[in-house]
Amino acid sequence: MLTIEHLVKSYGGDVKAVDDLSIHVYPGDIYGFIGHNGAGKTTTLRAVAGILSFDSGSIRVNGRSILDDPIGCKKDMAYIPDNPDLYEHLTGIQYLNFVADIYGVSGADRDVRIKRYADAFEMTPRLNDLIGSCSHGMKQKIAVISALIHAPKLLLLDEPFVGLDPKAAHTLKGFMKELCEQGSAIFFSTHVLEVAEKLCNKIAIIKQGKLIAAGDMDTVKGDESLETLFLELTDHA
Amino acid sequence: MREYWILSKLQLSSLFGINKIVHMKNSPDKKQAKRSVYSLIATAFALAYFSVFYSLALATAFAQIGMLPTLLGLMAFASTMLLLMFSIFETKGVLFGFGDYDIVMSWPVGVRAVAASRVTSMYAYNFIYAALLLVPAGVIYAGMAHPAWWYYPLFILMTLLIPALPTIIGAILGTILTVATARMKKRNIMNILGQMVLVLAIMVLSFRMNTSFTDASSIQGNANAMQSLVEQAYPPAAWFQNALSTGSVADALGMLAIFGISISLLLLFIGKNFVAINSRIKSTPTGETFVMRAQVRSGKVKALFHNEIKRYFSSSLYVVNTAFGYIMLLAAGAFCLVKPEMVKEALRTPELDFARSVIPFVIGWIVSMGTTSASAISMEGKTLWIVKSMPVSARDWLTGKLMLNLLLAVPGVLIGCTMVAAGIGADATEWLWMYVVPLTYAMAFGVFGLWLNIRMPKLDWQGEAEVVKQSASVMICVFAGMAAGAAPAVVAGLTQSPWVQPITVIVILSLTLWMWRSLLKSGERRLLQLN
Repeated sequence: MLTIEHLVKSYGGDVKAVDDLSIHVYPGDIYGFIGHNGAGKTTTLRAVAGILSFDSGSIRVNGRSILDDPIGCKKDMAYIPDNPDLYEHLTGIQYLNFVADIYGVSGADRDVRIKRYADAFEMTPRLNDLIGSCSHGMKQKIAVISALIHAPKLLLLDEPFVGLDPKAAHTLKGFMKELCEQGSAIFFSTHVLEVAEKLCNKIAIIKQGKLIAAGDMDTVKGDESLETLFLELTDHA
Repeated sequence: MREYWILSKLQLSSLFGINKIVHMKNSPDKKQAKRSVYSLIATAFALAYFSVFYSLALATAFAQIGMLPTLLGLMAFASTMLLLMFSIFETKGVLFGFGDYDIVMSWPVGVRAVAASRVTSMYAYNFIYAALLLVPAGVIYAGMAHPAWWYYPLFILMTLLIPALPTIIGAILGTILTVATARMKKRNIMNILGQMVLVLAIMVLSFRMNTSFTDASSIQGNANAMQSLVEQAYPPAAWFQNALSTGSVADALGMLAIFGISISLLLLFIGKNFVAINSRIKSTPTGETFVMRAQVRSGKVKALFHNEIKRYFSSSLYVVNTAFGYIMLLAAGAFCLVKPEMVKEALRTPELDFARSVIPFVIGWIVSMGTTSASAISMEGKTLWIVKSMPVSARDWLTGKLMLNLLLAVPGVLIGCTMVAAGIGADATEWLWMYVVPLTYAMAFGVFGLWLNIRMPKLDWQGEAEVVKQSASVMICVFAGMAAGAAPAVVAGLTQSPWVQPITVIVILSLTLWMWRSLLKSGERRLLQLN
C-alpha cells in the first residue's frame, strides 16, 4: 500500500530531517511511527501525504508515485496533521460536505458515513457550529471524521490522540482497527507508546532522521516493552 | 514599561517578516521571504515616486500663487484620512482578535502593556504609510521654501505625531463596530456593512466640509478650496502646516497635546476593556443543534468555489479592502444616473474633453484594486495542508480563486458601467468599451493576483491585515493596476485615438493568457513548495 524507499529531506542546512528512510506498509497494517521530537516523523508523514517536497528517494501509494501521480495517490489517502487547523469559516457539516465533494463521495454514502462517525464521536448535534468556535478536541474529531468519510485505503495520522478525550480516543482506535480489517492500511506517528504497543502490528523507530528499527511489533521489541526498547535505542543507537 | 518594550519589540520584529529572514536558514523559503521584502521595498519606492510626483506638481502650482505651505497641510490631511480608514479596517485583527492573543495573555504582563504594544504595532504600520506621503512633501517644501534649521527636527517630530489621532479615532470606531456586531448572528456581514458605511461617511463628510470649490478652473480657486478644506475638515492638519511654515509654537504644542491626550485616552479605555472585548470577539455563538438530513453532492470546482466565497465573506477586512472600489463605482454610477445633466455638462467643458475616452481605463483601475486573488493564496494560512493533501489539481484550486474574483467583478462592472454609460449618454462604441475594458482588467488582474501570490505567499500571518493590506503581492497588484489604468488612459486622453482601447485589450488579454498558462504549467510544483 505504501512504499517509501531511501527518502531524504533536508531544510536547507547540512542536517537532514529525514535520511535514507525506507518503510513498507501493507494492506491491513497498523504501522506505528515513533521517535523523539524533531526526529523526522512529521516530515516523513507530510512527504507521504504529498504536502512536502523531498530531496531524493521515492514514495509510492498503491503502486503510484507521489511525484508522478499526486492526484491519483491522494485519492487513496487521508491525512490528519498533528494540529487540526481546519477552515474556521465553515461549520462542521459544511467542512465534511466539502471534503466529501472533493473525494467524490456519493450523497447516499456520505449521509450514512457522516451519521455513523459523527454519532460515534458525539459530534452530530454540534455540526452546525462554526469550526472556529470549536475546541481543539472537537476540531480533531471533525478532522478524523473527514478523513474517514471517503474510506481511504491509506490513512496517515500525525499524533491522532492528542486532544481527544478518552472515549473519543477509544472510538478512534476501534475505527482504525475496522478500517484495516477492511483491507486499508494506517501509518501513524505517536508519542503514546502504550497505545502503539497495543494497537500496531508493525512499528518503526526514527532517530535524527534515520530509521533505527522497523518491522513486526513482536520481532522488533522481543520480550521487552516498547518503552524500554525505545529508550534503549534512542539513547544509545 | 519594560513589559511594554519587550512586547513591542516582539511585535515590531515581525514587521514585514524581517525577523524571519534574519533567522531563517538558507532555503527556498528564505529566498521567497527575501523576494517578498524586496518587492515591498520596490513598491514603497514606486509609491514614494508617485508621491514625489504629486507633491511636486502641487508645490509648483502653490508656489506660483504664494501658498506653498498649503502643500504641507493638504498632505497631512490626505494621510490622516487614509490612516483613519486603514485603522478602522485594522482594529479587528491587529488590536483585537489577533492570532497570538491566548499565549500573550497567559504571560505575567500587564493588560495595559499588551494593549499598548498592539497600539504601537498599529501606529508603526500607519507611520510608514504616512511617511510615504509626508516625507516627499516635506523635502520638496524644504527645497523650495529654504526654511530655517529648526524646520528639519520639527518636521520629523510632526511626522511622528500625525498618525496618532487617526489611529486612535479609527481604533475607537473599529472597536465600537467590532463589539456591537460580535454577538450578532450575521456578524461578519454586519461588520462589513458597518465598515463600509463608516468609510463612506468619512469620505462624504470630509468633502462636504469643503464648500469653496467654486472656481475649479483657476489655480487660485483650487488652492483656496484646498486650504479651506484643511482648516475646516481637520484643524490638526492646519496646525501641522502652521508649525512647520511659521514656526508657531502654539500649533506645535497643539499637535503634541493631541498626541499625548489621544494616546492616553485610548490606552485608558483599551486597558480597562481589553480582555472583555477580546473575550466577546473570541466567544462565537454556537449554531442550532444539527439534525442529520440528506446531504447534496457538488462537483470539485464548485466545492472549492463555494469554500472561497465563504472564506471571503468570513473576513470583513478582506471584503472591505477588495469590494470598496466596486462600491465607489456603483456610487459614481448612481450619481451619473441621478445627475446626468450635470455630468454631461462637465464632460462638455474643454478641460475635460479627454474624459470620455479615459473613463473605461479609470474603471479598469478601480476593478484592479478590487482583486481578491492577490491575497487568496496567502489567506489559506495554516489551513493550506488541507488542499495540499487532497486530490485537487492546481488548476482546480486556482480556478476556484479566480472565480471568486470574477463573481465580484462581473456584476460590479455590468451594473456600475451600465449606470455610468447611461448617465454620460455614451454612444454605441463607448458602451462597448465601457464593458470590455473593465471586464478585461477583471480577468487580467484576477490571474495576475494569483500569479503574484503564488510567488510571494504570506502564509505565517497572525492577523489578516498582514495579508490583505501589507503583503507584497497585494501592494504590487495595486501598484500595477494603477499603472495599467493610467498608461493607456494618458495615451487615450492625449491622442483621442480609437485604437487605444482595442490595442490595450489585446495586449492585456495576451499577457493574461501567458500568465494563466505559466500558472498551470508551474502550479503543481509551486503549490507543493508552499509552506
